[in-house]
Order: sequence, then C-alpha cells, then structure tokens
Amino acid sequence: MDDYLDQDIDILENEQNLFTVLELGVLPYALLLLSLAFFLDSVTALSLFLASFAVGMGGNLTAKMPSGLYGYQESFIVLLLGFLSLKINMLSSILIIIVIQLLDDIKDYKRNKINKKNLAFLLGKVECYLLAVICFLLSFYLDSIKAVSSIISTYLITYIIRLLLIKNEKAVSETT
Amino acid sequence: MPYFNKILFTAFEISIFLFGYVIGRRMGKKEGIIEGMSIVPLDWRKQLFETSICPLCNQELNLKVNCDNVHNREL
Repeated sequence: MDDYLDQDIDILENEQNLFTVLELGVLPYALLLLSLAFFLDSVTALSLFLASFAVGMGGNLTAKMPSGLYGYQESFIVLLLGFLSLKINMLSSILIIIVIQLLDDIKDYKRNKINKKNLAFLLGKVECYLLAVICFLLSFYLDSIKAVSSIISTYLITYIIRLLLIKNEKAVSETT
Repeated sequence: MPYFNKILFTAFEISIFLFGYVIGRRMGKKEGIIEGMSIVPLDWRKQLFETSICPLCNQELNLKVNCDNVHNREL
C-alpha cells in the first residue's frame, strides 16, 4: 500500500518499488492480505492498519487529502476511532508502528538526507534509535507477542519484497 | 509481573537519558555555531597572512598596485 502511494516519488528518485513488479495489482493484493490477516486476529490486524494509517498521515501537516481534510486531521480521526473501539490494543499498535517508522527512517537517512519528512534527519539518528527502543519497550509491556512478531514480520516482508524486486530486475535485464 | 515492571522502569530510564541527550545536543550545536562564527574571521585572516591568498575570493594578494586596501599587504 505504501509503495502504491509513493509510486510517483519512487519513479522520480529512481528507486525500486513493488509497484513496478505488481503494477495495478498492488492494491487488490494488499486488500487480500489484510483480509487474510483479519482471519488470524481481527483486533490486531485492524489496530495495526489504523495505527499505520494514522502514523503515515500524521506527518502531512499542509497537504490536503482527497477527503478534503488535512493529513493530521485524518490521522486524529482515525486515532480517535481506534482508541474508542480498540482501547489498549490501539496504543500498543501505534507504539510498534512508530518503532517501524523510526527504523525505516534511520535506514533511509543516507539515501535521502534532505527529505523534510525523515525523522532521522529532523530529530537526529541517536534520538531516533533511543525513541525506537523506548516505544518498543512500552509496546512489549502492553502486548509482548504483538511487539516481537511485528518486528520479525517487518524484516521478513522487506526481505520478500527485496527478493521480488531482484527477480524482476533480472527478468528485465534478460529481456533487454 | 516484576519482569514487566522492570521493562517499564527501563523505558523510563532511557527516556530520561534521551531527554538529557536531546537538550545537550541542541545546546551544544548552538554553542558550536557561536564559537565557530567567532573563530572564522581570525582563522581567515591567519590563512591570508600565511598563504597570501584570500580564503574568500581565492585571489592572490596584490603587492604592487594599491587597488584594494584589504588585499594590499604593504599598506
């Protein structure tokens, strides 16, 4: 879903993106995977999705979304809905998504140093690491299984995506 | 449960450390900029006298013609 939303930026920056492999199939596949996650644990899946939406949109202070609201307003509404319906589950999900966001920003720090939205650039690398550790510990305190499994699955998913991209790159180079 | 309380306490300790680190780093940056700004003019002057090349415009000192009071050494 993130690759689908960032396809234009990634094309401009000449970055590899899952959209180039799956093309328009990205969104249906993302929805299919989300539905499968609901089979496993509906509360965790919903809270993680809402949390990632809120964290992703929270940084957009000036951009207006298709709904007519600003990014942070959408984020606030989603957070409110999440906290009212899922309570403590939502809090642990937000914390773990913040951890993933911080780790991703630290990873991207060298690649896009002047990106205004990069937290490692805004806060500093060490601050990001420490904040990630604090958020992980708090998330572990609230829901240990979710915290550990989220981190493991993040690395697994990025590894699978990288494999897909490498495979696609090889296929493209063979045809040309 | 004491194990979980320890986790909470560790998070609290790291957040205090983070607070101190953030304040120290930002204050240090500001102090560093002020210090650097006060050193740079002296350092440039030193470089100019040592190398006879202006560190700003990279021009060599004009020793013969009195065309520039700043760049003319003999005056």
